[in-house]
Amino acid sequence: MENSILLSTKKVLNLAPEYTVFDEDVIMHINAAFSILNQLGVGPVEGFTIQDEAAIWEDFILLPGSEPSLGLVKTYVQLKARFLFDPPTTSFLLEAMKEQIEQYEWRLNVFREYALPGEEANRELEREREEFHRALRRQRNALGSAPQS
Amino acid sequence: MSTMTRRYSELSRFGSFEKRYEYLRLGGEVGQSTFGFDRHINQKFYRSREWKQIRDFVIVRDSGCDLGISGYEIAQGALIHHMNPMSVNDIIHGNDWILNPDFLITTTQNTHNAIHYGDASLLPKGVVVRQPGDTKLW
Repeated sequence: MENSILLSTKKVLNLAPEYTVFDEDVIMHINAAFSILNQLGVGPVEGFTIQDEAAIWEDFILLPGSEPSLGLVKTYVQLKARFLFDPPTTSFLLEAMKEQIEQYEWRLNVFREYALPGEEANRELEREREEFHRALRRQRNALGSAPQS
Repeated sequence: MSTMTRRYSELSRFGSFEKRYEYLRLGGEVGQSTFGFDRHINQKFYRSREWKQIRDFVIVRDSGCDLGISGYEIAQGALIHHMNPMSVNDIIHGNDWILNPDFLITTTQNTHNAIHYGDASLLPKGVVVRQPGDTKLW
């Protein structure tokens, strides 16, 4: 099974590995898909791009220990690249692809929200708790300093 | 599940449109009742979100082509065919195979009718191969 991001995407686009004429276009579309994933909060915080066929799917780590979910990322990136590289000519195929892309984006977003490692989730909870106590203190201070009638 | 004889994983091994048609052909009869008065049940199913999602998946998988064969792009009116006929009970009991893409294929109304009634004349005609001297218009 092809593990190179570029070569596996080219396979989906019906481009032979040795046919490199469109490589620049395909790389551009793949990187666009990774940018969207970055905006969704999926993948490395600093973003992820590929330059050539050397980059493999395992280089793109969603979250530590989340490798099983990589399948959805693969499908998403390849679908998005296909949509941009070879847009459908019929409205029903266009709609079906759009709907599927949107669904994958939603699912990856859900994954990102629920698959945060325990430590990170605890830190977030702690931040929320602190914020709550700060707000409570501010409220009490405001009540204490209010002029008595 | 014993009647699940046709699968996409098997169908995809056939490279030609004709072979795929032969694999899928059911040979029912015109006028034979399928859902009859229970049609409202299947209409509810075809309006469900689950069905719409799986429908999109199958259309994208087959690239919007009739029986998933490149060169048979569907211009309009694509429909998703259950390779193994679905019954009212399958919907009522929520049998999961009715939403499994391995049992679904993209097709057109004509090909769908040909599959059900075995009428090959409804199938799309292939491209006519040009021959020397075929420049006469009639």
